[in-house]
Amino acid sequence: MLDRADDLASMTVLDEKSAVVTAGTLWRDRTAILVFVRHFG
Amino acid sequence: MHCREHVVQLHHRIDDFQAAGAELIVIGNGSPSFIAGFRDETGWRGPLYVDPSLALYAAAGMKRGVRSTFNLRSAVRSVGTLKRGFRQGKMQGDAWQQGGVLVIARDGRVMWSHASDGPGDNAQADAILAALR
Repeated sequence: MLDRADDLASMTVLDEKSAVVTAGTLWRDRTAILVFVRHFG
Repeated sequence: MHCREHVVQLHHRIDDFQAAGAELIVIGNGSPSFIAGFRDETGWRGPLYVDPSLALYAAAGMKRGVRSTFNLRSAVRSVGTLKRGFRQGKMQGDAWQQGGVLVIARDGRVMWSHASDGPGDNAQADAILAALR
């Protein structure tokens, strides 16, 4: 288990308009519960 | 079949998560164009992003592989899920990528995590809430 998410913070994801979002912004303002889904099925 | 069910299950506890000061964010591994269909299927209206490269999945410790997808426990759980009325829709994204949950505090500390071993091995809302308290 990871202790810290520092290595993830600079990685990126895409929003529904294909805009690049820096992952660290997802937990910048509040605790984030990231649910990684297995696939969209 | 299980991913949508999992999101719906967690969705029902959204008020509890928010009361605990946390936001539920869904990360998928298809392309952005799949997001609309996923929202329709699950009713999820909250934050939703995709990681087609799977780089974030890997860094978050999520598993990937044939062995973790097909095993006896998964098969048994699949039957149970079908009985509860959920059926798998058209698959989008990477068939071998497993899911899971990572709870990250504002300071970057990982408060809780769960890397799924296969279909149906999903994090439970109560365990997530306990970690938030």
